[in-house]
Amino acid sequence: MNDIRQASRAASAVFRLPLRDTVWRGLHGQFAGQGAGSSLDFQDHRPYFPGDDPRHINWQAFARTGNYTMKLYRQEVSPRIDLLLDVSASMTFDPAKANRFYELAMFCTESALRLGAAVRVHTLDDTDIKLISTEALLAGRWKPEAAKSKNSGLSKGALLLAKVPLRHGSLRVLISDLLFPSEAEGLRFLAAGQGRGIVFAPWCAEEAHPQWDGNHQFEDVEKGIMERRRVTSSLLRRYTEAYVRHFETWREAARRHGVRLARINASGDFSKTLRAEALPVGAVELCQ
Amino acid sequence: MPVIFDNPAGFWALLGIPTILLIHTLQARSRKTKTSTLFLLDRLAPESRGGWQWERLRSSLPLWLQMLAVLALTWIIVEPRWVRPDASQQIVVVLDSSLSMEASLSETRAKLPARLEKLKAYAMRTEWTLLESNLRMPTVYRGDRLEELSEKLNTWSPSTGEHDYGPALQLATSLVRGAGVVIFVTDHAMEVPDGAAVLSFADRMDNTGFVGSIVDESERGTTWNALVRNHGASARSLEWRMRVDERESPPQPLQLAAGETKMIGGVLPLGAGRATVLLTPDVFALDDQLPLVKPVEKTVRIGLEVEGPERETLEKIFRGISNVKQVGQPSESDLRVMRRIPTPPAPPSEPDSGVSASGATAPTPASVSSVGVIASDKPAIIFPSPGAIGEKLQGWVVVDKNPLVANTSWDGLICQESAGFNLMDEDTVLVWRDNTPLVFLRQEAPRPALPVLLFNFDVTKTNAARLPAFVILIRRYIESCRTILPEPFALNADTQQRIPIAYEAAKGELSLKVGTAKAPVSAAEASVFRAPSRPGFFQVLQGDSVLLEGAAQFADAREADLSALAPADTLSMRERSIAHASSAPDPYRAFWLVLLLALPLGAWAAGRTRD
Repeated sequence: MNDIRQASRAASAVFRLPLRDTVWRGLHGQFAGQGAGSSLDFQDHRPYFPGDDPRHINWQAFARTGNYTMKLYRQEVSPRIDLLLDVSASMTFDPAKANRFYELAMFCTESALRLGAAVRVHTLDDTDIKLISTEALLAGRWKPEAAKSKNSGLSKGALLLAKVPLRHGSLRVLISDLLFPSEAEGLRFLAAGQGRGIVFAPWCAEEAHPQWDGNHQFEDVEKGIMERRRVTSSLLRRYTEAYVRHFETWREAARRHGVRLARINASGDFSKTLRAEALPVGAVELCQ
Repeated sequence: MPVIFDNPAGFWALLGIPTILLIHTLQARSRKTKTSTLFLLDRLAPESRGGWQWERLRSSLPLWLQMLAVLALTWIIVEPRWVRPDASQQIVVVLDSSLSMEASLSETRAKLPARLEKLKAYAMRTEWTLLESNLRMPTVYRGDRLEELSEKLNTWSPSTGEHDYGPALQLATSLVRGAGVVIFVTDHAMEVPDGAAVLSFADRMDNTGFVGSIVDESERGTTWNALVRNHGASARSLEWRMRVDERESPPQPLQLAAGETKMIGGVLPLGAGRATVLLTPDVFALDDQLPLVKPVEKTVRIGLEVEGPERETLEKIFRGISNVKQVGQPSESDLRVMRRIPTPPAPPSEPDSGVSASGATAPTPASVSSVGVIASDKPAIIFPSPGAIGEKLQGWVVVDKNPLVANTSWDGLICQESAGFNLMDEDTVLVWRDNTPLVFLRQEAPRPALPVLLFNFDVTKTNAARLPAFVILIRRYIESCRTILPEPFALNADTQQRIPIAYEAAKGELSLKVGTAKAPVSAAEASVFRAPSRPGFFQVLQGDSVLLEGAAQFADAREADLSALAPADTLSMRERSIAHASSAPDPYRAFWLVLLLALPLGAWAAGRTRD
């Protein structure tokens, strides 16, 4: 866990969540808000109304025109960040993928706290949603525990994104492998309520390029369902194509809803992976 | 260095390789795989699910280790031995000369070389010797090339009836000198001395054939009768027919129950000197044909020079013998029967100085011999002249083993002491009564082809005329006399039957003609001449004239009975010791054993790692 924490801290020293290119609502902070505030950034003029702060009267304009005119400056706020963690079993069945999941969760939390954002962390799967504390997350005391799925299908159902109490105008960061039957339209909830969505989707080579050959008794990590299949080269090729198609669907939905989707490889150095896979799609930005 | 295997059956262990491949192919136990993308697989069209499924063989470490383990196990089980570079062996194959081998000869020719080829691998050099169990036949092959031995075997055929194999096996054992083996190739199971092995490729067969025949002259002409026997265990229907020159009689049906013997017969066509009776062919061809010639016997001309009751007795005996003719002039005779006065021994005199003849006989060219009896260039039967009679002779009768008196009883002869001929050292006594020689043979100069037969008692004073042994002796002597007559004759003989050939050397060389083949017959060969070993017609020629017209018939019921044929192989039991004599065990056996233990463990460990 220490390695994970160190890797996520190192990454958060270089990268942060992309908050700069958006006007945020929230408490006083360091990011430009929607309204007028007390920052140094000039925003507009408007006529003086009684009760306005006389320090913002534009005296030069009063000298020229004889009317009181107020100088308006951009408001600086602290953004809200809702971190959504997919705790289904598929996130942790592979050790490398599980590590990468923890690294992403810690990185997002660490980055949000560094930015002074108001962070809420929700865990969810296809049956349940829980709120957890950032302290527990950062201290490594939290372990994902997926509730036993009540879904009777062969695989897990879609995440309960619609039921997560997302805050208005918040940045919604979802960490999920998106490995469930395509409910890509669920991404619209990430962009709802004037929010912005980012999806980190960790993946591992065992899923993308499995070395299956011959008879396999597949066990679904979500439900424990056993299924015997004979994998031929033909089936493996078609599986790989289906895997690619699956994520193409997610990417298309993400584009449609303005959600940034970054697939994060479970293997390799975390910072390098973020630079290679998250930075180009704007899921993270470099710290200044 | 060549390698041989003590236990070739161990190669069956190689079946483990396809078994392992099959197991790896079937993959009855699927590998458990945890996956998070089962829903993606479910979307794909199912190709096959559950149960036993074929799978493409995948190369894996456990697979190769398991196959190596099978190879190591096989190598250990087959018990390899390395042939020493200086190893040599002597293999002597003794072929059973019995004619019954004819029935299984093709099997023997086909299978024996393969068995010998196997033995060849046991040494770097093998010296082969191929003998017949009939030691009168020359060695068939001796050398180091098995191919040449096989060629010789393909041209060899048996030629002898039942005989003793012991001398041939003793000779073969002495040839081996310890390093090698003696293999007796026969057609039935039998016990052989230690150091020899038996191989038989034959099996029980049913055979029907001729077992004997007789050809006689009768008022109907030349008649023949033959016995046909079914040696098999089941009834058989067959046909027989007669072939004369190129013509054949209509086939005659013949039914024979198992083990039954029937007689068939007929008359030779007028003017036909030879004919062949043919049976429906079967596995044993030798007894399926019966060549017959019209027999022609030599005529013995007898000069009977005795009178009185003795003459009547002898004439009666001669009448019972075929082709005997009495002649008046002794010079025209082939055999003289006369009476002589016994005389005491006297100093030697000239052979042709004459002899004192008894009163009744005419003067003859015979002369008084050194013992005062006769010296003749012709065979003769001589009785003593009547004289004074003494006491009745008493005592044991002792009969010599001479063929003339073999198996005859003289115990019933009643005779008295009488003046007889003195016994000489060179005489061969045929019958003794106590210390008195009653019958003996005397060979005097000029040496006739047959010794003179002397009776040392007065026949008229005894019961000899009624004694079968006396009559038989006279007949046998006349037959012996007939044998030495250099005259043409014709006879039906058994194959390999000894046939005395009498000829006058001055008239030309002898030759044997079988079919169209003609081979010279030396004087030495003529003295031990035998009928050919294969059934058929033959001639013995002197110059261009035929001395003997013969038909060799196979009628050996013992050889024709193939019911006792059986496969046998005691060589397999000896192969191990033959191989061990010229090879050393694999020096790396311990290493293979360790490898055998290590490989399965490695395969197991590799399999666990994989799982």
